[in-house]
Amino acid sequence: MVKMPSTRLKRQIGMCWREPYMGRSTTGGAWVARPAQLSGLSLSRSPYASPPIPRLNRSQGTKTSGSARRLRPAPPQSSNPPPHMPPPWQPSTYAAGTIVAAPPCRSSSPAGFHASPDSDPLSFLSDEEKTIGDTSTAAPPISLDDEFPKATSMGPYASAGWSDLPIDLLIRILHLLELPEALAFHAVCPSWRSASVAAGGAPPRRTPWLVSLAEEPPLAGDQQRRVRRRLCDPAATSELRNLLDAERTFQVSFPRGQAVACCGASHGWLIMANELSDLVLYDPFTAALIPLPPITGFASCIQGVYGDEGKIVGYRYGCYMIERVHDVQSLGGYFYDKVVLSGPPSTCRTVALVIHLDGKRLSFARIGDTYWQQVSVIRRNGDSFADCIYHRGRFYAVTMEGILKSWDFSGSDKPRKKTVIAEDDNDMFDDPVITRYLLSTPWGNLLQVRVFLDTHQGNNVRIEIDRLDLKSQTRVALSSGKALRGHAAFVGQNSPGILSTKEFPKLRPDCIYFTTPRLRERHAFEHRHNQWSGVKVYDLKRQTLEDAFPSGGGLYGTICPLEVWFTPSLI
Amino acid sequence: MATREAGKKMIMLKSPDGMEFEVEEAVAMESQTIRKMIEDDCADTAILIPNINSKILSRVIEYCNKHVPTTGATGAAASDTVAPAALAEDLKIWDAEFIKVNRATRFDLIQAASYLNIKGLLDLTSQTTIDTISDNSLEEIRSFLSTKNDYLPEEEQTIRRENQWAFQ
Repeated sequence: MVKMPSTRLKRQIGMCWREPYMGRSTTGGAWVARPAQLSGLSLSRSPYASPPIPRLNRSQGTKTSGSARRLRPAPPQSSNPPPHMPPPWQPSTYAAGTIVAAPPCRSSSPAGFHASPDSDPLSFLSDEEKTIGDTSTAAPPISLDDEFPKATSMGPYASAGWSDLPIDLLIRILHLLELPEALAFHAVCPSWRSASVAAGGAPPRRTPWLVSLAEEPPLAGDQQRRVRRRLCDPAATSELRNLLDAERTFQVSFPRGQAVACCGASHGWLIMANELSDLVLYDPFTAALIPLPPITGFASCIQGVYGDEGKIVGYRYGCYMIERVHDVQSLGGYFYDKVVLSGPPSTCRTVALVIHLDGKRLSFARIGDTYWQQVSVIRRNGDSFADCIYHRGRFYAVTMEGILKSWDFSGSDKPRKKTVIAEDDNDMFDDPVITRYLLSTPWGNLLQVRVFLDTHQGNNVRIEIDRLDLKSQTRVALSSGKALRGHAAFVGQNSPGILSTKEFPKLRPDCIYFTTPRLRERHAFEHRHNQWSGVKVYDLKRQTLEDAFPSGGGLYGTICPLEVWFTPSLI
Repeated sequence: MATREAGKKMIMLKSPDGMEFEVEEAVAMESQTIRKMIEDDCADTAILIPNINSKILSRVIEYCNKHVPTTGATGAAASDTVAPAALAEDLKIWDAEFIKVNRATRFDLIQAASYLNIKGLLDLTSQTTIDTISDNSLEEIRSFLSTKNDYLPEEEQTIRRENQWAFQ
């Protein structure tokens, strides 16, 4: 049995229900998972010992579609009977002087209405079936099979039907679907596919999607008003938009409480902090969820504060465990700086490396671990980790001053550390570097992207790129216009992606697409609101910074990023 | 032919199978297609609604009757005393019941809603279709909707490769 992804989620959690306020209209509703029902993620803190939730097999789970239908509203007590009961079917007779209603002009539907007037579309139904639609008699709750009799029992009419819906109707339906279903829409049949293509088509995979947690679904009865979500609200829905089709957005529901902050995106998985400020991996296409060790697993800098019933009520945070207790939900928004995976989380050898505690610390855990292990601490004032990356079998981290270190997790449990470049590259006579990124190129190089605040040029952002030569342990300055060899790079909280603009001609060559950076440097923080929040594209040849989306996109984070580039890993 | 009956303007709608439905103008004008005809003064005689048989047309009129704004139509005067929220809730329940029809009828309804341009009914029928798509596997959708899977085997292979996650 093949299953749609949303169904997979429902089966995974074993039970589902509809919440009418989740942004769909009357009969709709989004599927949400109750966190308490996700194993290993119960709301009360239990000793963390549960194994990762495996990705669901086809055979797992129980059928849930029936239970969903039972949640429909009860039949009304009374309903208006039709004003006129239809008579027995008669051949069409057009009275003289009768005006024929013309369909409104619709460019997208040249064929207009498809049903033939001189054949009874219901003739294949028995009399009993014909009365199904009559609501004047209270109908018993019906199952999906009653609503949609199997094709085999439908007679000749079954061969024409939903495939032949006018294209504008199909497009209308398509626009109301969430992302996974919208992308599956065109797989149903060729005519649906052509509607999908007419609507702009599904953007090609392997291009980055921008996942934005910035908006909350409208409340019930308040469909028009969009509510800006607070930073610490558990986001239930996110917006995905593809750079190649920027004006279309897709809604994707997260299991409730599992997406409070974006901390990374790696190998086709989003890395989110949930409402307990624990990290989870989430695949929005398949709805699979894998927990990482909880925040209390950072034993050296986090201490859980427990209430009377043993539930976690807050965290003490910092090197000295100062008295202030941080609330459970919001700490994840600023405790984690960036999380990177060494590979897809399908094996327990996969390592997650996290920069945390204001960029001062670096810790790692393997999938299925129960705690985090610290691998590096920066004690010097003024320096912190700027970025980390997995490149050719090793993790690399660069500090704000430009020191590059590497860790190799391939051997025993303890990682092997190496300082690759020990000298900083800060020039006190140059503009301040406000942040750095590492890039792993398809041609095997490790690049460093330095972002300067050009104080002489109206605080514009200027970017320089170096190649970090791992053999000679030196930096090699590259000409900005040539460093990416005509590719486009995507950086931010995500593990960076580099795409060939030959393959995706809509992407701009020699450009870097940024999401809102997480800035700590004082100058940067003061001036960032001038220009550098939201999704920007920097043209290395022209040295300009512009909005990546013509419309400016959605709402973006200003201090903490609320958005991340996400590239589905499916091939 | 437009007539006046108890102060309300009536419109005659004819289905191609010869049935005539006399409805209040306000009810008929729930359909943007008919509204345009009335506003353009094309509707002094009966309006023939081609392609929509009397069964479906009566259902559509039933829907419009229920959904005609209470301010404009005296027909729904009984609802005036009910609070708007309760009324909306009542309408939702009524809609949910209304759309509990077999697949063929729903198919006719969505087309009729599109043709007559009745936004509420179009939303309702679209949403029901979406629920079907969201709740079921691709195979089930194909089966329930009786869409023709005209893909050649190799096309099907490509589609499956392109949408692996949808087939998991």
